Amino acid sequence: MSGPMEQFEIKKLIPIEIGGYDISFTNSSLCMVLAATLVVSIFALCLRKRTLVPGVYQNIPESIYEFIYKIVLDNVGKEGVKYFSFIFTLSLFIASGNILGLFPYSFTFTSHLAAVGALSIFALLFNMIVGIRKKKWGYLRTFMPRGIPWPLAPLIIPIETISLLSKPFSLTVRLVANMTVGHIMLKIIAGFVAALGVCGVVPLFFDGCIIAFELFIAVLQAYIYTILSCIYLSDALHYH
Amino acid sequence: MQVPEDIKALDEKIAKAKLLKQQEEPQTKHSDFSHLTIGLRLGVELASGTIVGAAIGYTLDEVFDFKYIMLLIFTIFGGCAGMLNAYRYIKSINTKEEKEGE
Repeated sequence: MSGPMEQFEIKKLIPIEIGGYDISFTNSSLCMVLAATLVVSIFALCLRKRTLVPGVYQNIPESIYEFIYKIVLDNVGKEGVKYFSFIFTLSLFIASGNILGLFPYSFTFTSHLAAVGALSIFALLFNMIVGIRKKKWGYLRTFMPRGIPWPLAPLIIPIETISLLSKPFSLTVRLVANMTVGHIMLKIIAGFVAALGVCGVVPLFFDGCIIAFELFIAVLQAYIYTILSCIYLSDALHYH
Repeated sequence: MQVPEDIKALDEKIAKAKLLKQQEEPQTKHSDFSHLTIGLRLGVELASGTIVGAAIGYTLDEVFDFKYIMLLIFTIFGGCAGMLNAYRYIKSINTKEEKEGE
């Protein structure tokens, strides 16, 4: 039987190497493409017949849209609405990645530091660009808040810089840890089902419960990621 | 596009019902699950600050060959940054609770 960590192994599907760099199309890349395609297809299918009073199918994307719109409005304010499309795309991509990973023979790309870390760094850079565009040189105040005496600058500037850089790291770790732990737990308990024979019904029942719980965690983690991205965007726009 | 009158009336009805429901609902207190979430987030904030600080220090040592002095200094800075993030998080929760209480 395969080990619990085997499900996180990256396998090359189409080996590509350009200039000594390995940019192969892997099972992780495939799942990312699938996640993006799935979301676009579901939205396109549900929004085929657009009416003023939404039907059952039109209600699904509209509810998701309104839910995320409200998160942006509550956490960033009206100023954040113009960045809504970025937050919306990010949260849907992560949510679909988390849910897709629960299917058998699938791959959870959100359980990999590299994939989520890249998304978080991208979000941080986006927030920095937004902050610099809005406050110009005033953005440097993020590293040296008002009211702090200048002799303290050698202490405060590195602390504030690390504080800013640790934000994407904490975002990444939270999502990756939740996804990894859940999947390992599922695999270990699933291992008992085969080993215990008839008594394997008990771990099978537990596995069923954990899958339901994992589905909840998958959506919850995407929600947390969205909220935190909004808070960081709000910090870039309003802080100091 | 002109919104029909019956849709407008329905919209008003929904808004009224939402207001009534909000008034009827008792003030929700933090559940044990949300306390756990707060605790976990604080832990992650503290640890991530320290790890990022240590990583910056280690990189500086590797690049400029500072004999692990930067690792020591930036780990301490990282710890402080983690505490600062945790403090800001707790402060934001308190502000939110105060706003809800008003």
